[in-house]
Amino acid sequence: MLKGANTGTPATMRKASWSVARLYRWMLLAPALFLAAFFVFPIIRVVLRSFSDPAWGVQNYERIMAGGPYLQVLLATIQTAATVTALCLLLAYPVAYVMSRLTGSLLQIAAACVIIPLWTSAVIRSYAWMVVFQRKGILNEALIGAGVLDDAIRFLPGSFAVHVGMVHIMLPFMILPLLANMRAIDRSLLRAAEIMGANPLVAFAKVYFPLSMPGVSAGVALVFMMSLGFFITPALLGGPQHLMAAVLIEQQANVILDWGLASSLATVLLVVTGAMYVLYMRLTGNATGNLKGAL
Amino acid sequence: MWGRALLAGLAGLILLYLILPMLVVVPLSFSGQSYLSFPPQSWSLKWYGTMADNPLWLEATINSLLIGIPTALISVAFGTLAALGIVRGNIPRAGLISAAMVAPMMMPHVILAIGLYPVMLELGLLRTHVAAIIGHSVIGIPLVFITVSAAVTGYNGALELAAMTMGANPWQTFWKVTFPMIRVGMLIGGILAFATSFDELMLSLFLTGAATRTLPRLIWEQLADYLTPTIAAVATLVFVFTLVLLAIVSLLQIRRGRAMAGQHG
Repeated sequence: MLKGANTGTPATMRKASWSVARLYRWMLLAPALFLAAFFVFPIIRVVLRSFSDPAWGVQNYERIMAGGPYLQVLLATIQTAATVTALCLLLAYPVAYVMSRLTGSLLQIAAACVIIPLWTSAVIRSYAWMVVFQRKGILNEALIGAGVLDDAIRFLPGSFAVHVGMVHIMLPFMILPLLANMRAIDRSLLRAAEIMGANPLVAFAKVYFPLSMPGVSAGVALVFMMSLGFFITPALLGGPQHLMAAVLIEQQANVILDWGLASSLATVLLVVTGAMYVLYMRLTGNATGNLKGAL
Repeated sequence: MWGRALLAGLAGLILLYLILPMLVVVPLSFSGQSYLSFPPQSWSLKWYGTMADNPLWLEATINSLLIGIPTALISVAFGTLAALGIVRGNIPRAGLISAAMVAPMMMPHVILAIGLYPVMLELGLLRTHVAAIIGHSVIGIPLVFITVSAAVTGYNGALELAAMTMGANPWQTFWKVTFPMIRVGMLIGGILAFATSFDELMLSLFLTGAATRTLPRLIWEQLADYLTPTIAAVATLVFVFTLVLLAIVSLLQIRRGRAMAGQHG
């Protein structure tokens, strides 16, 4: 997207624009300095601190790798992120498929249902799920009212509530890349497959689904990457039974004041998220294209 | 045919799940009871009254505005400069640099929060509005960068070149040529940066104090203690405010879409 900016400019003009381009490059200086001071520098300090607090060495990482609760939380974080990603894909695919065929006001209503939650406060949404899942909450009352349950189930704190809350927050981030991809699929290919004798299901499996793979892989990488750093939902709905990395880091730094351990956990989270980000960039080719619908 | 209806029904249910939380919170805020029964058996405005009686809510709202508005301005300034620099500067490996610009938005906020905490402490800014403004700007700049990059990529750079060959200095070129083309992108990015700051919790937990705490932080603290409908009233107001911001953004986008279509057609 960015590289194509000046294609189509005649060669002579490109030569003349060289000094102008240099002028534009200077504009990068101020934002680069700001981000170097308040983004790159703080993160370098976190990494350094993980090796230097309380003493130089890898003792913080040894504590994580010793197999105690810290390693468990990191593994549980990856597992939760993977489950949430799979659930999101399962739910988002049919929605994006139906939406890719809608036009006019129906499309606008569906798009509003996707975009509005995306911009609604995560704290408020987790509060809503607390209301739904609490002991005398909506879900328990409904299940008892319907005769499914005799006595209320204790959903909070619990994994089920965490998954429902996290999938709710991540679902738009899966729907949007899928939708962008599916709207670009040439549907006459499907018709061609059917004319050649494929039944609709085979045509879908052999033609449509492979064509939608770029959207699937972009969505999966994005949702998995963002799920790794979740804080609000697991903290409010999961409690101590369902700790995730960000909740543990916040506790270690803010409550227990073990900044060395918090920094090493953050460094591990940074490396995993960073690897996912590189993968996501490789898959999509740019950082922004797939989220344009959201912005 | 049946398969199609089933699929549409399924998609409808999943979309319902997406808006369900607000369908719960908004009616709850008008409940007449003091416990969270749903649907409420009687209706009242008393939870809005309780909210108004507690000065903490107004204080936190003012703090959120005092942090969100400067955050939007800083994000617009730096995000626009970065977008122009990368797109018009013919930077080698522009894709990589763009990825680095967007990275703060994608990274778990907790990492940035524990990194900024000691930096703000040393600068003597901890628990001031400035600390939160700086922290929120780091995640706001990418949003503006994305919207303005899209705007800058949307028209030919030869326009600016033409202005300069005709004798306009860089300053005039910016205000007379570039700015009219990208101002909608800047505005949309700014609103989104504001909305992000208005909603951000993690950086606020580490960087603000009792006197500067933001609305999400206050909701967070209250949630730990009591699950009253007062929070539903606050949530409803925040939700309506977000809806207004989103409506403005989509109106701007529709207008921009029309303007672009006019240009090419």
